[in-house]
Amino acid sequence: MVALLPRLRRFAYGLVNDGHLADDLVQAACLKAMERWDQFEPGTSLSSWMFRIVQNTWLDDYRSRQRRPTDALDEQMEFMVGDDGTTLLESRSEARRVRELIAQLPEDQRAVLLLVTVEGLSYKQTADTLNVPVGTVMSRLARARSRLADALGRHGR
Amino acid sequence: MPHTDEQLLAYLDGQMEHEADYHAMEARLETDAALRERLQELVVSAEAVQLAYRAKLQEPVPARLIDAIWKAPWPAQTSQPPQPRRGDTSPQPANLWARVERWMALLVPGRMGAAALASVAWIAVGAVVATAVLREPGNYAGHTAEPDWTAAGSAVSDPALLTLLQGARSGAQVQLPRRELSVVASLQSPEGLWCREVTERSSGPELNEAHALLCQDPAGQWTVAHAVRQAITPNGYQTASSTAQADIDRFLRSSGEWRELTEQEEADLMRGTR
Repeated sequence: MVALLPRLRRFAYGLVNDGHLADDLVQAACLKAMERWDQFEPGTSLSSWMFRIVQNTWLDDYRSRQRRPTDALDEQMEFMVGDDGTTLLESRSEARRVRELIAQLPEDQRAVLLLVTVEGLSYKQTADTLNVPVGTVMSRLARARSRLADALGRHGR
Repeated sequence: MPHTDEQLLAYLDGQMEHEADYHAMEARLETDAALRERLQELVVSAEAVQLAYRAKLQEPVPARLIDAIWKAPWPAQTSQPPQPRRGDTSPQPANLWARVERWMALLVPGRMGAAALASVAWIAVGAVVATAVLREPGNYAGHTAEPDWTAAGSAVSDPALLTLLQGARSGAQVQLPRRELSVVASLQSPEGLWCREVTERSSGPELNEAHALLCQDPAGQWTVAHAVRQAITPNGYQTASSTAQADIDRFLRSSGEWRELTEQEEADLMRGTR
């Protein structure tokens, strides 16, 4: 059984890295899903459909509300893990540090990372959810995971 | 080395296209120490990512979120929602229950499995609020009589029962116009399945009471493991009830090692995160 609401909240939280905004996003997405309930095709994955609505709602309505630009540049990434950032980051918990790193990823990579690595979707399901080819899922995932592995590996655990 | 990472990830995630791809990767890993090191880094970072969001999954869903979903307009293709009955003293639960049933009814024509039904019940109910709301006996509008579901081995498709099985804590009770359903306990079967003991008092053609054990298979499907239904007369209620209870107890004793689920396990059952 797929426990959708907790998973939708987690996915949204990963996208926006802000608990309140994530719940707003899930709420908006659920209401949108109910409006469009007749568009859901029985026999397909309800969770994929819901993840897609969360993702689209975020892109359409929520992204602009975020204070911080989500399309991070490589320089910002370097700052996060570089010498300047180390002191700051060390005072935070590991989990929070990882979430910060993920928040700095470009948004298309972030969505793929969350769906595959956190939510456990297959590459095919992720591709269907985000409406992109499987090859795109693989390359985005590899870029995201490479950056994280580099960042986490470089500063140890 | 993003291209290599791509292949390593597909290997790790079990997403390679052919069985031969796995063997090829393993052959490379055997001879290439740098590749092994990179694989290790990717494993460690994946664990860190999963850990970073684990707590979020365990959080109770905020009431305001569930509340907003309940109060939303009905799905477009449905007709008018059932009106709460006149004199109903608990309009909110009535609306809730009708809504849950409506959602489930929407899915039934699509022949979705019980797992999908239960996940929709989940959207509508949510573990936390289901506990709070269903524990209060109240009147729920919009329900019609269900066929008897108590045949052993039969799969559960009754929306009210499914909702209760998947979304309510032990001790929860829900009153429908012609019947009253209660969850008595949560148990683990000798086969390791998670099960729930349920009673139903029904005023169908005659007053009767059912005691049943229902178990959930790994795919999420609930099936009747054992059930008794007995007619009861207003005077003989106690006797019939205790006879049915004795029958359940006998079944539990004779069929192997059953144990009661802990509170945490019951929460996991409702959350679907076993």
